[in-house]
Amino acid sequence: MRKRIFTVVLSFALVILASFSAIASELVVYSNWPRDYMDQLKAFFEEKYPDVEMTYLRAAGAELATIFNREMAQGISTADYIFSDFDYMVGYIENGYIEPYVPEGMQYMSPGFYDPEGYWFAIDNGPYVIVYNTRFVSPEEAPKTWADLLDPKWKDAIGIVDPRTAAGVQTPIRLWTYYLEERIGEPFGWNFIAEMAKLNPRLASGHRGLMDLVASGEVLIGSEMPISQTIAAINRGEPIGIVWPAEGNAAVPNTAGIVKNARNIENAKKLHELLASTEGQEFLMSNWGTVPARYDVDWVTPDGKRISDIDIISIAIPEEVRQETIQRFTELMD
Amino acid sequence: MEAPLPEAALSRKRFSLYEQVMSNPAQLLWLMTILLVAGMIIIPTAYLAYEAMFSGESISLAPAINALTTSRARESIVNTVIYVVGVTLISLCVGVPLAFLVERTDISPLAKAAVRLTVLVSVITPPFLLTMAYVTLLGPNAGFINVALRKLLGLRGFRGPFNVYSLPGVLLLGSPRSIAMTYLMAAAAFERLPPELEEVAAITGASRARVLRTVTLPLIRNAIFGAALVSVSTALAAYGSPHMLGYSILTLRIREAMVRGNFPEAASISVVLTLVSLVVLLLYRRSISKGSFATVTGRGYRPGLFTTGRAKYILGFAAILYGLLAAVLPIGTLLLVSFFRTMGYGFTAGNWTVANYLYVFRDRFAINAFRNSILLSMGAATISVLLTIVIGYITVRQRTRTSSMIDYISVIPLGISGTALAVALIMTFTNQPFRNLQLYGTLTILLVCYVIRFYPVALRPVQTSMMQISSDLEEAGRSAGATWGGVTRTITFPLVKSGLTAGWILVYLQSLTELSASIILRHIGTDTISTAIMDVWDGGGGYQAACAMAILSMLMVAVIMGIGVVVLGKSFMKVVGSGGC
Repeated sequence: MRKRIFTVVLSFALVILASFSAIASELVVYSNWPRDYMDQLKAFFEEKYPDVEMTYLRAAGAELATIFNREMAQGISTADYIFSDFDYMVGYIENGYIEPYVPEGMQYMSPGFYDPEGYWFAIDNGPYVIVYNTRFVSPEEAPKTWADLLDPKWKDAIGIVDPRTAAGVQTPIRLWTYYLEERIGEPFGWNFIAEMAKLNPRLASGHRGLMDLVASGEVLIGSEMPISQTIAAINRGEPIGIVWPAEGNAAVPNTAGIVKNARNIENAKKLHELLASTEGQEFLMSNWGTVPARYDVDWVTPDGKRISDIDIISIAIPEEVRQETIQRFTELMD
Repeated sequence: MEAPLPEAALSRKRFSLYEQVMSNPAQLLWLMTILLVAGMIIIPTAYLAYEAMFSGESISLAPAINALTTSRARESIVNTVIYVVGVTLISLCVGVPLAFLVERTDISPLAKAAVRLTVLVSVITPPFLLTMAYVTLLGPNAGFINVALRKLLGLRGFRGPFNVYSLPGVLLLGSPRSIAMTYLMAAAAFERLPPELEEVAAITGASRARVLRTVTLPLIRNAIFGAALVSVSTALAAYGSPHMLGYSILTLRIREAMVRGNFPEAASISVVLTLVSLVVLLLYRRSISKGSFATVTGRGYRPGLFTTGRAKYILGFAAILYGLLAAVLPIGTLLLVSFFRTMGYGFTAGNWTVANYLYVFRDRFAINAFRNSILLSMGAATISVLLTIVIGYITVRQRTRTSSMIDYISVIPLGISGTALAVALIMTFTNQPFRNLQLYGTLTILLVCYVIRFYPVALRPVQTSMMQISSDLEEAGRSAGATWGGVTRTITFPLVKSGLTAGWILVYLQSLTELSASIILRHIGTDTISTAIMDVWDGGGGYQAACAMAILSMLMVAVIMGIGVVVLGKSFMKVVGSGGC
């Protein structure tokens, strides 16, 4: 009897031991990119590294920054790798949350697409465009410039992402309220947002949500949309048209970096290397619609634009400006 | 002055206490349960209050006052008041007449069945799913009904005539569950009315209308008051529907403050919201404990039905219309959209696919969310029922001042909104000493949250079933030499089994579709059905996939409801309506 019990216990222990040894090593990614994009990346990465299981936490930019900052400050974060808007990345570096690491492909990256010290490189430096629903709006009727967004005919038909939940929209808002005011003057500046508020725009909590509203026709014009999301929607077969505003296009690098003292730092380096490689950049470009950081990867939009055809205005947003933007936007929109 | 006890006596005394506890392990179990319940409520609330009042150097009310006096906070407070008052009024204006129609008039049995079924659907369907459907139907620009009406009426422009993103839209979509709860409470009161009073009034020559005004309605006044308080409490805790329609009430402000990293503000608003809800809960408990239902007691036969003459058909149609608007139309919409290829091409040929369901069955995120919800719901239901057995026993069988206090404490979670509780749990489990438990970001923190939120829901059916057992039976068992465990196993448990089953199913159903707390507590791999649907709806995979997930979650709920009805019969619907209050 004792022998049988011993055999059963030993077998059980061996099974448990075997199951533990079979568990793949992990990689935990914090991401502000849409979930279906992250699923594609997970499949791509795990195909390359079958012994590593990638899991991710996805949240809109502002929420993700709050979660990451809080967890890092309290020492309870499980993140190994993080995707983030550039300005949040600057904050993380200042707080000592990012591990510098120079991937092999960085020498092929265009200036402005990477940090020379290796803290980050740009997953995307895509410009923001205007989008419209092609079933309800013809190319002739569609706005041609940012200023055209204020046309009263778009009252109740325009949408914008809410900066209280998503960080990316700070880029076009900063373009309208500061850069174009400096460059052109009226109607830009904060008055631009005040005028847009009169059109009763629909606020979405993220860019994918805004794209769904435009695609369904519930909103006819998406006042700002990253080109990556736009290309992805067109590839899905949604009736979406692109407008390249004549005043220029805002762009802020969407960055990626390795978390300091990450539990799975070697796996994080593998992902960093993969994304910086030609293969990784091509994957991002064809699946996420991103503008590649590497100059040896060619990028063409569905309407035939190359990066050299676009008037890109690089935007910088200090943290205090972000807070002020949220406050002023809220006051004007509510 | 008393002489000190000798050492031997002291040790004897300690031994006798130990002996006492060991001779009745139930006492130890009760004590542990009481401490556990009190801890589950008091500890997170204390952390919440501390975060709200600690300014970095000292404890004061200043941070809380600052957080609540900003223009945005004031706006949210006003919105919350409008929302609560609006939803409550709609619930009373629809729920009470519906209950009267079904219970006291001669409208067709089909209409009555339609109302009863719709009420059941409304109680178990999370409001955010109905809102999803109505955004598709009444979105001002592309809403199916709006597009159809514009074509039919030849209206120009691309907007209206209806707009779900409006105050009426917010209030109407916030009401279905409250209407259902109001209906159930009013229907129970109508059903139990003593017919003698109405008959006497009729014999003395009073018209039907006068009988209704002077006898019937005053008799159910307290039930209406109770229903109003339940509506207020439900509206104060609302999250999903106002979130989707962008109507900033206090629960949304809490999440917004969390997203911005302003934890003192989130905690301050949570504390205020909790205090207000607790006052409402206290009022409700007092209203039902004062014996105000004294006239609404046992009776020998059903009260007579009011004849409605030709109005019968119009009233029957109104009852069926309620069923159409509150259940058939929204659920039908979700079902249709779940088969769309793209939203952009709507009801056009070639835009139909089953790919959205295949996506849900293949997508690891969706599968994981369903698995998490099922595990959490089963866990929460089982733990809650175990807790309520002990609490129910104490509060029903031991009529002492302490047991009354426990009865009050145990229902406090009903007054804490999911959003506030989630914030409190994050504060608790990210600060010492509880941080060492490493619950933050795990499924366990969600389980703790669900148990705290929903065990009071199981308490009512368990208490009711315990009240129906005479203590003589258990005493007879003990006299015959059975141990405490033996009596519990062979006498008490079989008799309270139906109450436990009802409680288990209620907690399971509530947990399965919980959103307001889960959306704050979710982390890597801990998404639930509701947070996954919101995530997918909000841009994480597409609106059609969100509809497919919604339909599948409703099917799961329907299956469990079916089991409830099969196991417990018609009484299950009444138990569902009690909502733990």
